[in-house]
Amino acid sequence: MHFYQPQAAKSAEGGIVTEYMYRVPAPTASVLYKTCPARVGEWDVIGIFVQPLTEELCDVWPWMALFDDETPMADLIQFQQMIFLQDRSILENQIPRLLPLDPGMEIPTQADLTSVAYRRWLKRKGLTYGAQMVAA
Amino acid sequence: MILYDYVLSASCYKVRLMAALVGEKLDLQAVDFHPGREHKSPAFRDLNPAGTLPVLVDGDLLLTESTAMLVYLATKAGGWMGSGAVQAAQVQGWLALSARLGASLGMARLHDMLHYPADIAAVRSAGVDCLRELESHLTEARFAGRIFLVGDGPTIADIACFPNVALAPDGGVALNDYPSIRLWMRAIRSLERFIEMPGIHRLHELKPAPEAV
Repeated sequence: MHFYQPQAAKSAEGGIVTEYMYRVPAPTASVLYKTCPARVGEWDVIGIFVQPLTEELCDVWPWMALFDDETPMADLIQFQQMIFLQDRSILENQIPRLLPLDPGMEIPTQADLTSVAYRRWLKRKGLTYGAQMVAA
Repeated sequence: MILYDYVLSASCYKVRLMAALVGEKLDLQAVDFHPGREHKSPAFRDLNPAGTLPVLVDGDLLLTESTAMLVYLATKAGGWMGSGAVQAAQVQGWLALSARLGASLGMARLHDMLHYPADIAAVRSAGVDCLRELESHLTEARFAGRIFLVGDGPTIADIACFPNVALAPDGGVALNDYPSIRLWMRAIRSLERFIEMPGIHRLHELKPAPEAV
């Protein structure tokens, strides 16, 4: 996927078109490969491990491998925490909290393609922890 | 002017916001507050023995209390302090409340977000007490045709109290029950040169992102 990002990384100066690759190797893990602004032709890699605590509560453990020889570590950490919190507000405003696996609760659009594919995959696996099982 | 800063800290945001509102440019020095606890390191304690953030350095002046920084930034720029004996005293009163907000709603947020040890029920309940005081005061103010805490315009009292109130949901305290507080927050978010932090958004998505100073 290609997006214009006003600031794609701490090392990015100004906006650039950023290429993203998402991989979901397991239902509670995801890996994001992202164009590296500091080193052309390389990818920055960000991974997220989700640790469910209850069906509606989880801890998220991020790790990342970034090319950046200049930015101090404290700035890198704060930048990632800032991005993470922006994403968190979007996530936590999601209603209902349990993920609907069955159609009928919403009207999917083109932008929901990956989300729909993810949920179909969960359903095929029979993974229903944290999912809403009420049929429409 | 150098601000030793942590992006998720409500107290640091008070100072960043005040500086932005008065047009003061800050040189932000990121401190690895979480998870690194850099503010407790010997090197940082050489700067601030209390081991707390934020720290503001301007030439020979070194300040370690965010309210002191608000007073400094506001007095330098002019305005923001209330006028006359009554308003000056009222501003001090709300600065004291801002400290209670930090110890209650702020601590609940640190507990929920960064795993600080706290009696979560007690700090949330103390936070709700503060919110009720604020709500009742702001409702009276609205009846009198005002929207800010002291007098007719914004003061450092508003800036000191705003962050921990706006971030209360991060600590599990909802703001749905406080219509006057929500309007007051809207008035603050409408101020010229207002800046955001994670968890506190600009008035409208379509408004251009204000330039951080």
